[in-house]
Amino acid sequence: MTFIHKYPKAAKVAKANFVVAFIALAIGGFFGFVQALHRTDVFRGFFNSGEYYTLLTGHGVLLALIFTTFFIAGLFVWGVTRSLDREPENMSYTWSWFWLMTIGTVMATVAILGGLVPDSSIRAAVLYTFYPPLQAHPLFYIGLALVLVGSWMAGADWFWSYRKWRKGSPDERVPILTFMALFTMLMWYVCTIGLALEVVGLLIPWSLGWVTEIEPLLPRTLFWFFGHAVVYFWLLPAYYVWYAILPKLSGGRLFSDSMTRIVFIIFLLLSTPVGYHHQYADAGISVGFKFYAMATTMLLLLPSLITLFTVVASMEHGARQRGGKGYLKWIGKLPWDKPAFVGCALAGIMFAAGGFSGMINAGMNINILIHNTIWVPGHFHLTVGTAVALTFMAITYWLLPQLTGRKLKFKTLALIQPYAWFLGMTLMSNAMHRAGLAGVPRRTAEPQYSGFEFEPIFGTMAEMDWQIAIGGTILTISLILFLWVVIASWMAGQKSDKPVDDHIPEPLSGVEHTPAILDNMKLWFTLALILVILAYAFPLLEMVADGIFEPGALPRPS
Amino acid sequence: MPEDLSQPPESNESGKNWEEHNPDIEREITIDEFQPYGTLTLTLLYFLIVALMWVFMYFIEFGGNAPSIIE
Repeated sequence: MTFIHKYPKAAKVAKANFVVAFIALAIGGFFGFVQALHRTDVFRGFFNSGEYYTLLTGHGVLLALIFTTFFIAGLFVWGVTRSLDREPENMSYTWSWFWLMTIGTVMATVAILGGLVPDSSIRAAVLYTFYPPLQAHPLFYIGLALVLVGSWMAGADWFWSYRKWRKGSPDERVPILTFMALFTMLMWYVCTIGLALEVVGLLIPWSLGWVTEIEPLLPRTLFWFFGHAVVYFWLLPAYYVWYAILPKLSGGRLFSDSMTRIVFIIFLLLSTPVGYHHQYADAGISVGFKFYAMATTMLLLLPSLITLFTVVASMEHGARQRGGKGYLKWIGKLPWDKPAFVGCALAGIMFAAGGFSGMINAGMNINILIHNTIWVPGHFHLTVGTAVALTFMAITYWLLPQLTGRKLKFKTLALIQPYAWFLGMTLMSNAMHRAGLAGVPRRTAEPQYSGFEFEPIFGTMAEMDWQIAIGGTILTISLILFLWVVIASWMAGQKSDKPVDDHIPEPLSGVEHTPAILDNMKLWFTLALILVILAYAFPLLEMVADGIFEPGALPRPS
Repeated sequence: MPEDLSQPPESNESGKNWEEHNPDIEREITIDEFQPYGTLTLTLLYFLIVALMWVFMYFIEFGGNAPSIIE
């Protein structure tokens, strides 16, 4: 018996979410491939440089917002259902949030792809950040708003299951898989307040022509209220996998239940009041609030370092149970021939590298060195593009058999895939970081600027461009391998009652050592809100003091 | 309280005997026996790399005694 046999309704919902996630991954990934060739001037025949921004928007929105949100929804449906041992409470409600998110996704995607149709009035080349005065068709903003509302309803679905479970189990501790899902969603509720205010309160009325002027700084600030915390909305489900499943795949147990819960609580508290670290160069925000954001950002290194310790210790436990010895020799005893393990482990290594560039980004002074250069995409292709995306792909190899009742096919291709991703991203991301240090800008179709030379610290611009193009090509091949294995397994994998070992052993230091206060969601949620108010109340008041739609600052769209 | 809260109650595999049923595992290591020296080594190596990278960034930003982006 595996998940699909025990919980057929939840399996169907999880699979539906994965279908949308993987379609978004395929389209967004292809756009990334085109960009890698275009901006390095290796091949510019796919689209013209004007259309590059449509592709860039599609790449960012479809991968960073749509792929992640739907995959996370599928993952949490699996985790909450399994750990609470109950199907969703009302399937009509569950399907309603799925379809709402899907309709929103289709609307936003149509708006983006409209930019590739000549003379189309439907366009959304506003990039991932959708800063005004760049303006998209209303379909784009309304579509994203529907995705957002659907995600809120999905979270409510899991809280609903939790409340029902709690009535039947008043004295039990929250199961760790449900705990992590609920705390991720609490963080999501806090951070999406900013996005909802921006999109519904400002951008939709503006794109519909009901309002003619909005100040750029206010929507920009509301975006970053959400825009960095969303990174943790992607990352926490990757942590979910690293804490809950990776130790077992390593042959061991999660090192500590308490540490896991503490990490998720710290992320709930500190994820949102960090947004100004994207706005160090913005005028109109006092330096004190930027400093507060820097401090909270640096504090967020703490849960990541706890994660480094806990997850690596869990893996070491697995390796030593498999006969590993020595200070480093035990690493060789890890299952480097199992695709799910390899993907998660390599994703973790890349995240450690991304942690360093993240520290540079967070620092108020040194941030200026790399601000708006291609260093920044280099950073988030390590964190989101690898730590999160590769983890999601890798754990699909383990989840899919549980959701379909079919064994994984083409295991060799599945094993090559994460190694290929790691290699492609190593080439692409290191070149991006170095090019950023030479001042190469981001968000630019033709960054070569005739009559101007970038001066690399070492190496040459041509070598970096080739690394980006070759790295992007290897990543695309890896993505095709992933999709091939998933489709083949889903359609034609051998049916089995037990297609994969889906057992998760209890933690080494279990819930009996976890203080009860860690499960007090009201307490931590209230503290999170207080920290957000401290960070954002006064600057936002300053921004709207002269009227929300009567901006005092230039430049402004009109 | 069930031993393994991530497992549904009907699971008959849960509990501390997972290692016994797993052919890949040579021996079970309890929390009292487990000494994560390897984790300590890797963590120290990571801190060393981060420190060296900071030094590298320092020279990029200040080594030339001039702004490095706007010439």
